[in-house]
This record gives sequence, C-alpha cells and structure tokens, in this order.
Amino acid sequence: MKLLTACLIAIIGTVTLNACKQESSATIKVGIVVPLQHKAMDEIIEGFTHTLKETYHQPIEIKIANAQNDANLERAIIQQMRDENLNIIVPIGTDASQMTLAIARSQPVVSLASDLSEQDRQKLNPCNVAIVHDEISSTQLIQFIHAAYPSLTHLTLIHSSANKIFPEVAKTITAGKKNGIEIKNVMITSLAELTSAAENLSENTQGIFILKDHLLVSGISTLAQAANKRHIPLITSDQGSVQDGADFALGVHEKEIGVEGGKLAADILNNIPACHLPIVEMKKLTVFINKNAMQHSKQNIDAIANAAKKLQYHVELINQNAE
Amino acid sequence: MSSLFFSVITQSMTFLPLALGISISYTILRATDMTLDGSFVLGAAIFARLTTLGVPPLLSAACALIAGMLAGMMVSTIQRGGKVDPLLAGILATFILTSGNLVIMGMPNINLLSQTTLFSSAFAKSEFTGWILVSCCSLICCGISLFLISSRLGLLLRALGDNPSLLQRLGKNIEAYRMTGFALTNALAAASGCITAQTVGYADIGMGLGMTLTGIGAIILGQQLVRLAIKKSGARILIEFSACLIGVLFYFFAINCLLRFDVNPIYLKMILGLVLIFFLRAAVTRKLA
Repeated sequence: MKLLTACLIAIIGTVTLNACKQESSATIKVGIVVPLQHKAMDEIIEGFTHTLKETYHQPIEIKIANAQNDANLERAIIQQMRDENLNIIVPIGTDASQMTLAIARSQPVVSLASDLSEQDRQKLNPCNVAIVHDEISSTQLIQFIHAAYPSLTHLTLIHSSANKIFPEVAKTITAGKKNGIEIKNVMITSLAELTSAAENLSENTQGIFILKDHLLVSGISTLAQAANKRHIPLITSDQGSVQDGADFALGVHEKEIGVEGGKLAADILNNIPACHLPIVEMKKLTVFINKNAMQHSKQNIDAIANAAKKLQYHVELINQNAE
Repeated sequence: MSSLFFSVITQSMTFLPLALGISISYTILRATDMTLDGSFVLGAAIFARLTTLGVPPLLSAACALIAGMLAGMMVSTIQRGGKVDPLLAGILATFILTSGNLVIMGMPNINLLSQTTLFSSAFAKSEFTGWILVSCCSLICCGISLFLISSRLGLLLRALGDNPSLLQRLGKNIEAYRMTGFALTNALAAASGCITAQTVGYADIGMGLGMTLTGIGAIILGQQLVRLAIKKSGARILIEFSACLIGVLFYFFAINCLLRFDVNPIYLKMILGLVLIFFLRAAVTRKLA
C-alpha cells in the first residue's frame, strides 16, 4: 500500500512538472489522431507533415497518437491534445473527427478523410473545422470500369459495414444501372466472413469490385485468389490494395489527402479561420495497375490503359508487395 | 494538473454505468455477460436514431434504457434452464445485436454533433456545466441500481449467482430473477452507450468493441486496490461499488498519465495488462501468506 501511494505521488509530481514544461514552450504544436495503424494512414501522415513543414516556415512539433481502434483511448488522446492547447488537432476518419469536434470546441480542427459535409460544419457552434474528403465519385468509378470492360454486365461489390461505405454502395449500384451493369452487393462484418463471400460469388459475375474499404483492403489477398481462380478482374479504389494484389484501381495517392490537409493547416496557422476554408475534394485521379496480378487473373493491361487514356487519367504501374 | 483530473473524471463518468453493469454481472450474478458490448451500442443506436427522427431526447433516452433491458431479457431467454452456457449466450446475443443495431441505425454511423441532446444546452453554457449534468445522469443510473441491489431483490440476485438451487428451494422462479438481473446490467450498459453517444457526438456500430473486457480489467484492478485498503468485511455493496468506481478511475488515470508521459499509445494496453498481472499475483501471494 505504501509502495502504491509512493508511486501515485511520484506519477502526479512528474505529470505536474511535465505540464509546466509544456506550457512554457512556444513552438507550434499539431496533434494527429490516428484511429488505427494502417499503410494508408502512414501515407496521409507523411503527406501532411511534409507539406505543413514545407509551407509553414516556423518550428513545428507534430505529435502522432494511434488509438488502436479503442474508443476510450481515442477519447483520452483527444482530451489530452485539447488540454495541452495544441494549435491544431488533425483527426483522420469520420469517427475520430466527430469525437474531436465534440471534445475540442475551441481549437481549430483539420478533418482528413472524413465524410463531414458543409451542412454538418455549418451546424457546429463554433465552427472550427476544415475538411478534406477522400471519397471518389461512384459515377467516375463505374464509368471507368465500363470503359475498360464494355461487355461487363454483372459485377459483385463486396463491402464492410463501415459508416462511409453504405451511401457509396447505394450510389455505385445506381451508377451501375445507368451504365448497364448489374451490381450485386455482398456485405461482410468481419474478415472471417470474407473467405465465404469470396468462395460463394454468383456464377455469372464478371468481376469483383471493392470501394475504399479498410476491412476489405486488409483481406485483399483472399479476394485476389478468388479472382485468379475464376479469371475475373479484382477492381479496387485505392493504391494500397493494388500493391497488395488487386488487379487495378481508380483512386488517389493517399499522400495527396495529407498534402491537402497540410495546406489547410498552414492556412489556419496563418490566421485564416478553419471554417472559411473550402472543403477539399480529391480530383486528381490515378489508375494504379498491378502487372503481375493482371497476368495471374489473365486480364488485358492494354484495355485498362486505353480506358485511362480515353478518360484522361494518369496511369501508374506498380509493383506488388512481397507476399 | 487540474486538466488531468478533469479528463479522468469525465471519461470515467460516461463509462461508470457500464462498469457497474459488468460488476453486477461479474460479482453478483457470477456470469461474464459479453452482451454488454452490444447493449452499449444498442443504447447509443436507439438514442441517436430516435433523436434524428425528432423524438424528444428524454423519451429517446428512456427508449434506449428499455431496449437495453430487452437485450438483457433476450440473453436470459437464450440461457433459459441452463441449456446454453452463459458466456456462449452472451456471444450469441452480441451476434444478434450486431445486426439489430445496424437495422436500428439504418447506417453504421449517426452524427449527433448538430442534434439537440439531453446535454447539448448544458454544454452550450459551459463545458463544466455539461459535465456536471453528465455526471449527475450517470450517478443517478448507478444510484438506482445500487438501491435495487441493496434491496431484497439484490439479495435474491446474489443467491441466484452463488447458489441457484437454494433460490429454487425457497420457491422462487430462477428464470424470472435471471431475467431481472440481466435486464438491469444491460440497461446500465445501454445507459452508458446513450450518455457516451451524446458526449462524443456520434453513435457508431463499432463503438462497443472491447468495452466489456476493458470494464472487467478495471473492476479487477479496483477490487485489488479496495482489498489492499479495506481489510474488514461488511458494507459489501458499498465496497463493490467503490471497487468499481476506483477501478474505472484508476484505469483512466493510468491511460491519461501514460499519454501525458508521451508513452506511445501502442504500448498502453501492454503496460496496463502487466499492472493487472502484478495486482493479481500480489493478491494471490497475500492470500497464501
């Protein structure tokens, strides 16, 4: 008991000293809230930190905290960032952004890769958030698939129950109908269900399609095997999944989301109110092609490249990560 | 320093009803009810859905609690007559609730930032006022539960956990008491979810992930700390609640302290796990001595 009391006193003392030390510092401090460790997150962070340091020419200290998908931990991280009076808090993803806005009402927030709308932002009192969206128009995705595979009429869309995905699934199905593609959606709630989903695809499906869906991206190799077995393309919507075994994707460089966020953060540090900054949409789309995967599933690279050329997208051939 | 304590107390207050629910289930009903993860989300889901549909916040909160009770009754029904193991019943109920919550919400995430909630006007006045109201609601939920637990009903629930056949010999309906016990614990979990959704600004299908395990960890810590401090027996309910409260406060204090020491959050759970092992081993050593 005595040992425990001594430990508690020591902890409280050190925390107090730490707090005093922090208050005396004059460096600009930015905190990034990462809900879950992920390759895409790392790229967003890299883009953000690099751009902010390039654009804002003053000493900046960037604190990155990973909440490991734990809501209690995420809340503790955000409250600590608020208490430390960081100059900007940068949450990645919708949940982290909502929690940050509920907790830190007076500090500027740069929300990256979230689906907060202008309407959501205007309802905040005070409005303290600048936003970078990361979703790509479903119409553009389907138009590209249609251009690459004009004879494709049946597509299977596998998705998770993540909050961002639901509205995108509905939009994708509508866009598919307009382009003569019947899209069958299959929802999974955990990675354990992915193998069953991949092994029970409809007989008539001519391709597997996934949106920018973190859960599915984690199990991309399972889908790649299913696609190879049936010689159908595995089409995704992000660079990382193509590096991990998908055939091709129309997407953005994740780093660009961070780059745009970094620019917004620099504007805020230059005294532009966060709420006055327009919401940034990702418009610079790239077609990522995995040559090895395309060969395994017996797909024609030229068809993809020609479709990209026709729709004026930049093409990037990427190497598959070592398995 | 004050900000540290403020953070610890605010985080603990939203978690406390859930922790008390886990504590009742773990120490009184003697069952590890994994449904509490699902009921936590259910409370948040019902509140968020009804509020966005224009239902007054108080009514939405009441519906959330009732839904939590129903979830508890469902688990009890699955277990009925000891035909399904309690742990398995909890996991099955959580499975069902995962789909159920998604159906209720209609989408995996509902934004409450711009909605009128029970606490929005208090938070608009000042953050401190908001948290006072949150704490009051949380403590009222816990107070009502403690009142029930300290009554004759509580005594019979304890008998159910310790020796169900004794309850049967007393001519009591075991299933009715089991149902009441689980309804109470799940209503507490739903209350915690409902309060949490209003303070974090959203209800999300994944927000309950790991909550029960965190709660069990915090309660074990609390029990060990209370046993270190109080040697006497008696005032059992007060001691159990103190263990729960101290455990939750200690858990959030530890998390916040480690974060303030700039410990990488990746190591937090490992450190807390090691602390828990230390306490458990110390307790066993003391018992042997």
